[in-house]
Amino acid sequence: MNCRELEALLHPYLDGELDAAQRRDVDAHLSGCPVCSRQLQDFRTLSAALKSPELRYPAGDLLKQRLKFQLREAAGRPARPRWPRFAAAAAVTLVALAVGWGVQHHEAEEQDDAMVEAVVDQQADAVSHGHPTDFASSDPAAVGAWFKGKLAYAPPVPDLSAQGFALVGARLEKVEDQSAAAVVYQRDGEYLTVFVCAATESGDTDLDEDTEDDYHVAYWTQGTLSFWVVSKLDPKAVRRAGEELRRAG
Amino acid sequence: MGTPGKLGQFEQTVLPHLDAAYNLARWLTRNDHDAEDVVQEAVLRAFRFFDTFQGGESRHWLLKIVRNTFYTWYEKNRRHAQTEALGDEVMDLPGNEPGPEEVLIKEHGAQTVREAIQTLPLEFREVLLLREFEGYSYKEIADIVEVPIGTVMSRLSRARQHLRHRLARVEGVNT
Repeated sequence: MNCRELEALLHPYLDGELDAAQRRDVDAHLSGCPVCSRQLQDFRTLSAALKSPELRYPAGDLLKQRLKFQLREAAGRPARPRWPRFAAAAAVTLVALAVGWGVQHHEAEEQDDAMVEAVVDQQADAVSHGHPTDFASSDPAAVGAWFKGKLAYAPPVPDLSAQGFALVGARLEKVEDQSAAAVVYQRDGEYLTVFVCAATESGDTDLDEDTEDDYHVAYWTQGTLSFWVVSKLDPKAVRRAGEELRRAG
Repeated sequence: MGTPGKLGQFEQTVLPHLDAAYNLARWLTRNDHDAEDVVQEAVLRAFRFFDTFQGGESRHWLLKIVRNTFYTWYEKNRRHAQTEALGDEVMDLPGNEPGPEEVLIKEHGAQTVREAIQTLPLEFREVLLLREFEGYSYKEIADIVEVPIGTVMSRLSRARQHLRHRLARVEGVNT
């Protein structure tokens, strides 16, 4: 083997890619050729230097968090209408982080998702235990009176009979560690429950929608209260009921 | 829906390789912002196709997706075109003075070595990264990059020669 032939085998030799016979040939040449030996030594040093952890770029925490959140979104709600909006929000998050605003924005999205999950769980539990209401009444005034003294605020109990929803009654719930009013209506044998709780951030927001299991949720904030309309009725009906309630509120 | 099995499994199998995924994307795109975009897209794509993952080496699987995502992104973003070409490096054959490489690399800071790697054209850079950072065999690299093993071998050899010369040249200028 001459030096030129060795050249072709030098890197596979260094990388442990040669078979025993080839290795012996290379070793034989190297033992008699200081120039090639020196070259091998150089590449070995280079290769070792490239393995330095200093040259690696680890993924940032913000990217990891964002991915976890996006994966949860992708797993739970494949055809989610809010997806594009979130993608935009994620882009904003990166830029806005410097002024400390982005994280809050991101958290608000996560809070909404947690709330949606919580109200859907509560509603599913109440129905499966055959206990949709603590207090059964079709009279809005009576239901409103029942809430008195139980909460720090008076949840509105509008009459939705014109929209085809019959008032069934109400119950008290704990949603994400805070008390909430649940006002229960019914249409076509399906419940439509309106959760009312103190808003984490007061103000007025547009109506937003989400889907969790078989439930559709329409939600918004109005003043100091947040509203979460939960039902297995079709999304359009849930949204309409939400819009109606929002107008009435 | 809670945490579906697919998500939990994906998080356990694939997410531990997020650093490797980011490192590869960062070296390919050469900046943080684009690397984040590529990794994000790649991980979501991996999640969508997780059902087709046959088991086996999940890091290899993920890095292959990262690389493919990068090239799709790269085709779409021509403004980021990376135009470096490898010059004809002088072959280190007997007669050429062998450079004192050992000293050189120790004296160069990580930043100089990093810059030297960045000047490698994409197809050489990725082969070098997969070998040196990830420790993949030629066969595994050939699978990820989708070229014959012989091509992996020659690209790797040229990439290393380029680095060796480049680092030697920098040294020459500095002294």
